[in-house]
Amino acid sequence: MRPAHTTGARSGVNPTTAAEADWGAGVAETPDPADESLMLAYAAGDAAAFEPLYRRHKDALYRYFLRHVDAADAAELFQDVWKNLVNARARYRPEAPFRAWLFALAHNRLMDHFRRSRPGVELNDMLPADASQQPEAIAQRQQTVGRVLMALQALPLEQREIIVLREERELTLEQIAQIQGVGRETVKSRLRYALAKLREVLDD
Amino acid sequence: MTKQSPPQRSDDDQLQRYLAGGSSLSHAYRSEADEVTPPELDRAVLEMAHAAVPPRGRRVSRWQLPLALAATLLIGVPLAWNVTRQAPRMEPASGISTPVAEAPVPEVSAAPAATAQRSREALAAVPSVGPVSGIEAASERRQDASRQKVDPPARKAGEGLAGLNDVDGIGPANEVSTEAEAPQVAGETAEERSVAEMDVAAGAPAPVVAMQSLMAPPPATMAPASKRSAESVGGSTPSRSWGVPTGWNLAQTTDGRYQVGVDLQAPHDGAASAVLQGQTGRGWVELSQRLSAVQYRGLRLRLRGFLRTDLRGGQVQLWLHAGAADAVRAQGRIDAAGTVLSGAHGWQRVDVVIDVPADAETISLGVLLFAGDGEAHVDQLSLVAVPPGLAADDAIRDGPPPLPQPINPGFEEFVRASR
Repeated sequence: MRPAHTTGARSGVNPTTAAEADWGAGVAETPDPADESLMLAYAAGDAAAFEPLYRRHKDALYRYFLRHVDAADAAELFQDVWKNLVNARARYRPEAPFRAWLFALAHNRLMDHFRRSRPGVELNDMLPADASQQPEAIAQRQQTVGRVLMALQALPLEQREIIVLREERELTLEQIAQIQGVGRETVKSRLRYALAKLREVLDD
Repeated sequence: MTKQSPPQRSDDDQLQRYLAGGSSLSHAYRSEADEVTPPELDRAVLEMAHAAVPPRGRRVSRWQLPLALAATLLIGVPLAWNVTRQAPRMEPASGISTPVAEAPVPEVSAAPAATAQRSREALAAVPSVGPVSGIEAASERRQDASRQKVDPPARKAGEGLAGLNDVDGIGPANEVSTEAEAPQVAGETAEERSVAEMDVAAGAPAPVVAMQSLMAPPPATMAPASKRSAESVGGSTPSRSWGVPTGWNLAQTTDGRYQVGVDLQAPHDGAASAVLQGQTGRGWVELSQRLSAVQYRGLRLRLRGFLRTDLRGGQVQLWLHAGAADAVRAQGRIDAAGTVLSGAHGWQRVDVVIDVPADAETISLGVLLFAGDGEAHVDQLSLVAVPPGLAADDAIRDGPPPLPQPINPGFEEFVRASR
């Protein structure tokens, strides 16, 4: 069963117009504090605010890394992202939805990992995923993961990442564009290619 | 390398269906991707996160509360007795109509009430008071001195706020610059102004405060009165106007009830201060600005502001942030800082200092109220480069030329729009 927080409406930020400033027109009372409120509280010294925030996003973040690296590296990168988040808590600004900020940190850490593991190699040249494309690895993974996850492994990183961010956190194309450092249309084009390839694989 | 062929039109349909949600791909992904973090990983991260935050507050022992009550009575009763006995001897010539707060709060004196009165006068005189460019820069020392002066007799409450309601009657602010009115507006004597003018004319180093609170609201930035919401003091005098101060950006969450505006009562200095108000103790609201970092690169930069809080819950934070060009390299870097206040306090000077990286692209600053139940005021923001060898509050008289400042740092220019 998928946790409710991964499928619910996006939490958080509502940059309002000035006309809406008066007592936050259309305010919705939610039972749980928004991600941004918890992060602000944690940044201000409320250590207890971290755990609910962590539990909301940990599995999605972990799976994000599992879609790109093996389990050992995923655990290391996962910890690094939370460490970076803790160190950069004073830098967090609530205008950006927390989940977009979290996955921007994750994307940056992942890119850093790839650059360090293969210095001098362009990211696009090391794709699609490396070891998992070996026949033995493919055969082994087919026994443990489903067809969609296998098909995802065949996609270039930038396309795979879009699918993962959409599925795990329902990030918008604009947010993904900011994370990848490209324009919205580029993300749209990459997604279009990704869907076409996935359809080819899954229709077989 | 083979070039990818362009997707077919059906791909666009597929894209639209996928973005709309509920596609078979999404269902399949979510049924397959069910990994969760190992418990040892959870423990490691949670321990790291808790260890990074110092414990809050301190334990209160059982005898501290009665002891505090006894001390309060011991000091408070004789003090109240003395005040009562001395009250008839006070001379009414001071013109101070608001009682001075007895709490020993720094920066708070009789001045706020009188300054608020001057603020109303300033608004009444809006058609004739323009930006006094020659005295925009003045030192805090002079401000402090001016606050300690005895103010002229106050006018009747609300007299000057006709200017706020009668927007159509406001002429271009720069048409007439009536310098004679400036001392009344800002509480600054002509003598002090002439010193300031001499400083500027002689190319003297920039004083700390970037802008005095002398600017009348330019008509271009004023919203129609019907679009503004105002609160009254004494039934007839609008003392607050709700909306976004000119030059500032507003952001807020959906999980709280907040409003922002300008308060004409008791600013720290000048005619107004910004007020952020929250009702529910949930969510957050923020006023912020972003500036180019070009002229701040490599500097130790100090944001100074004055904050006043009346919070039953939540916290207010004055923050400063240098936006990095390389997000990867900046991940572990501390190029942002904030100072947090909570509870109820009179005006307090608050400094936030960061070292601006050489690759910074933007400087962002703002005031944030989160989990707010109550209100916070902010006034007189300024940015100053602090020489590395000096503490944040050292005088910067021999420092570099003035840096670009936030727009409307004293919140006198009001208001872009509001209800």
